[in-house]
Amino acid sequence: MKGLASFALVLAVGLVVVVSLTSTGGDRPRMNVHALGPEYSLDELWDAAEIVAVVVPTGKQVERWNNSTNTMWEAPKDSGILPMVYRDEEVLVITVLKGLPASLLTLRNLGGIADGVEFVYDGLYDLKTGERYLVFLETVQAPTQDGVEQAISFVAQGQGLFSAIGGGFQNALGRTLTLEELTSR
Amino acid sequence: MAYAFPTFRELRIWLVRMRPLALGLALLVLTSQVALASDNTGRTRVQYQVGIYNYYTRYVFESDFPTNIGGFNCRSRMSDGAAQWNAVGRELRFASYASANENWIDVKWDDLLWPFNDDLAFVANNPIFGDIGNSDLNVNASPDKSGGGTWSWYCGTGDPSSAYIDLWSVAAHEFGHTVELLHSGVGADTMYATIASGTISKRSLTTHDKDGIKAMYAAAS
Repeated sequence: MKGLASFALVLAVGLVVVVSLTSTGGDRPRMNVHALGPEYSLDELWDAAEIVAVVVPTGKQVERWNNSTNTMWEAPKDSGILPMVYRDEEVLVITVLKGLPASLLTLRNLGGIADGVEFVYDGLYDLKTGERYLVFLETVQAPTQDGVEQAISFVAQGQGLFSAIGGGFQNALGRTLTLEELTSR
Repeated sequence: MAYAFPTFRELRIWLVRMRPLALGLALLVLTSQVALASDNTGRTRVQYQVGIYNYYTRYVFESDFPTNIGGFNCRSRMSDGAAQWNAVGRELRFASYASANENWIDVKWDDLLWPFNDDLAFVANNPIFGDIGNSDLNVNASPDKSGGGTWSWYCGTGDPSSAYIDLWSVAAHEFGHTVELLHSGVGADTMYATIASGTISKRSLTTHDKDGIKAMYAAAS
């Protein structure tokens, strides 16, 4: 009987070791998306943007799927749409450099968590409440669960979104600029 | 019934008797460690093992992926991009395959909608298995230009004009993503997040690019 108990003990320890070595953990499914874009000059970003402004996220945001089935790993063949999670984030416009935006804008940013699945886009900032961002914005035709709708998003995604750093701004590609550089063009 | 731990002598006798089982258990643990050592990204892979540490990951062109644009074979340029990573000589190697299989990399050619309409290509790594074989490599058939118009693809091996994007360079970049390399912050790297039109410098991997795959995969035996 003692032998059997010891055997059970050793077996249990062994199984725990094996499971801990082979397990990948209980993390939520995570879709990593990496996009390659053409390189745009500052002039091209400016010209393509309908709005260029410094904004501050208010913290109000919603995250949604762009399709109704949520089956992002079974993207409809040849539809050109990757089922994905996006977020609409409200920002307060504090400085306008181009365009005539309202004082509050809703920006469509990529990524987020919905139904326990996380979407992460390589090369995009997650907007943080209260921080300043320099944004180059354009109107886009965005696929949603209810069909295609107009939304405001960043020109060339990560190229058109700059985070405040020191006395200037930097985008996820490492390009830095100041408001003076922009206005003196 | 009161339980008493076995004495050292009893345990030793028991261990001798149970030696085959203990050996099997040790082997099981060791095997798990070997499996992890060969997959230091912590991801599950669906691959074809050749030898002990050589893995071939298949990629399959969807039927509408062009074989000819301007007299050049676009599928061959995609394979040239994959070959850059194979040439580094790590345990992971890409190989094309004719038949589709859900566990292999699908290489697609679609006219992409927002948010990828102005991107050249993107890779989405599968969230369920998180492995290479389930990645999709999507090339935008008609990338929108900032300010209007679309970019054209160059599938040759020479020098494209500034109106063209070099598919070989884009392929080298995207196959890097299928092994879950992220964008590089170094502008000269193939894995940098943008590419200029009319250039071919990103067909070849930089030392920094190669360091990325070297950090993830052991040298091929």
